[in-house]
Amino acid sequence: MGWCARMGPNRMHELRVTIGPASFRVLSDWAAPIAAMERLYAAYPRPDVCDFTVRLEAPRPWRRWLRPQVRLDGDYMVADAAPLPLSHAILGAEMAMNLQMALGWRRHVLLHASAVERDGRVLLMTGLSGSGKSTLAAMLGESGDWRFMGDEFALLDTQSGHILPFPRMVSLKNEAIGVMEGLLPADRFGPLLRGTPKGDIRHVIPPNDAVAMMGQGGPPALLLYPRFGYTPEVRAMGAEENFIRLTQASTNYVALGEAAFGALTRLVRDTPVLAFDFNDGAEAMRRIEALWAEVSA
Amino acid sequence: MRYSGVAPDTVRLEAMGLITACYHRASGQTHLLMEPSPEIMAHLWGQTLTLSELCAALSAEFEVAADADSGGAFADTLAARLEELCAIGLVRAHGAEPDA
Repeated sequence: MGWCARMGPNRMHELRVTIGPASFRVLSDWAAPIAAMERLYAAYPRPDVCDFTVRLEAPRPWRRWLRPQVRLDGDYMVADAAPLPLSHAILGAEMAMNLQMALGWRRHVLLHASAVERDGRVLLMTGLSGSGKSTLAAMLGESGDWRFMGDEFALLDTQSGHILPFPRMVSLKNEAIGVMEGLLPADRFGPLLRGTPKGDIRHVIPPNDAVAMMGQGGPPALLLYPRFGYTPEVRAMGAEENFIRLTQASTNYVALGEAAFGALTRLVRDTPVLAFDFNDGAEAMRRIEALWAEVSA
Repeated sequence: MRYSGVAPDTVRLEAMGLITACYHRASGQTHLLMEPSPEIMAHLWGQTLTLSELCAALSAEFEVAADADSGGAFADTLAARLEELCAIGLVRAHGAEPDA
């Protein structure tokens, strides 16, 4: 039974889940968000001890029932986060879990990037929100030829230089939802969350192999900076721009000090990099296959 | 004014295309340096030089005239970079130049 002094015995809906090397405890005032997440995370290990705790709480006691609202809390939080309606609680939990990683993870360099693996080597994709890196990773992961490693965070090991998976729920946004609904069975999806601060959101359970192999990383073989909505084009990127953008893509670069400096300079030095513009997912996948064949030759 | 470099083991330099990335162990900060800043640091490791001496030493490397005494462009560039490197702790300035 979940219980802690802060929550009290009446607020004990709890999920424990391991994602990659990190483990989370999600506590909720309500049963429904935990039940929904239990289904989405059914295949993931359940840890005894957790790295992080996040809480979904009512900002006022009556908000548990009356126009229920969810306030996010956790070991690491930003001030003044606006409450969400209860119908968006899963999104809130995912956001809070991401925030724990972004602000609290110290074992690896955390890169805001998606990653897929093939033949033991990793394709890393990083870019701003809306760049298409999540959708591309999800599509490649469903193709059968690639293993999905994560759509939001990639973990760079400072010793080996390998990329480790963080295969949380895939968070599809807006147009990407329809694309993936045409590819996957309904039981892979969470509820459609309309009108969130990020637009429409729908979570997808990663493929079975992504969860089964989530302890297994690999060396990076290609780094792409995708940009959705532009005429298809591939451009070279200088080492200096690559390095600067990677430091910006890392949430814990400063905290990890020289270890992160060494890991990122090694990534820049050893991994081919390209800027990758696209405007169609299927066409982008074909071009990625061709680029992968080149780096694998 | 005379200038000396920080000890080589207090920084870590990695060439990154057009820039040199410099991790400064004392501050934990990463600096992105363009030439001639890394060259200035390299010449000041283990010795203390005036701007004129540094200009003479680096002018051959950059194939420019040693124009420190005439206030030329290369000396101005070095002076500006020295000021920046001093501000971030990668070069130390020592008192007035003895021959000033």
